[in-house]
Amino acid sequence: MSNYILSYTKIKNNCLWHNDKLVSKIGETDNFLEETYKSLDLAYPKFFKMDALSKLGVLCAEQILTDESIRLLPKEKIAVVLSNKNSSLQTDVAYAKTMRDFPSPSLFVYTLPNIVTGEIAIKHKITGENAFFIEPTFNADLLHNYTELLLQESEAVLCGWLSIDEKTCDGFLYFVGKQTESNQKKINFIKHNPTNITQLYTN
Amino acid sequence: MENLIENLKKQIIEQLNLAEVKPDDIDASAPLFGEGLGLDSIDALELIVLLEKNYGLKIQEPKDAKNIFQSVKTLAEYISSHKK
Repeated sequence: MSNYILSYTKIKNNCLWHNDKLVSKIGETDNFLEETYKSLDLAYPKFFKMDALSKLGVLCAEQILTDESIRLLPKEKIAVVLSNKNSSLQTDVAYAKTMRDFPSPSLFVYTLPNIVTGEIAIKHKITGENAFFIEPTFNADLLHNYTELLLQESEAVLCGWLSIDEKTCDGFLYFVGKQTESNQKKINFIKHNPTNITQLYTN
Repeated sequence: MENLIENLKKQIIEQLNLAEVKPDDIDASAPLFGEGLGLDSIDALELIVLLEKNYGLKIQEPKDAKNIFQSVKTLAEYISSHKK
């Protein structure tokens, strides 16, 4: 059975897109992630305690995982495969600075890249497999191959690239699953392959 | 004591990144953990840092922490009675 990209989100240039529709656009600000959170009316106070990487992931995942056809999937059968270039470097540096004085416990808990996976999983009660890859650039082949392997056991996989530093914020998440009776009328199916993944990321 | 409680509320909001909470939203007698502000174990560590950083106080007996961190009021009472 073929697998399909059922939904995708992008955060880039102060805009949040879901399936090519502009969801939120924030003007020039130093608090783009927080302003986007407010524009979405998420009512999830824990958001403000997260590091920037986790905030980026939670915002990208929200649009996908609250879609009705996806929300009803068994949570233990949803896997999460994420990637980026800088791991949790931004938070690592911030934590290292606090070590000169009083090391911050709340920064320390975010000094791993896969904490963002945990934050997404906690918010949406996902308990499937997960992995986080550090790659020099967005690697559609790696994400595709690993996702196809996981789909032998999982129903669906949330995949993508979450990269953030002081200058750029680049989030791209997509949801791969199977065609079912409940989703076939709603979704413009995009076949899951590296070419389509790359196209969605770069467009 | 009132001034200390008001300062503590502001410091807790800042230290714990409670961005959507205002000082007036915090009931000084309400539990900090479980209900009330609903803080977690990482927040407890941040409160310990706050005590040391802002007031130079270290909790000597870990078993006392539960009572000290019961509410903003109990925290203020501890600071007031131990600050040098």
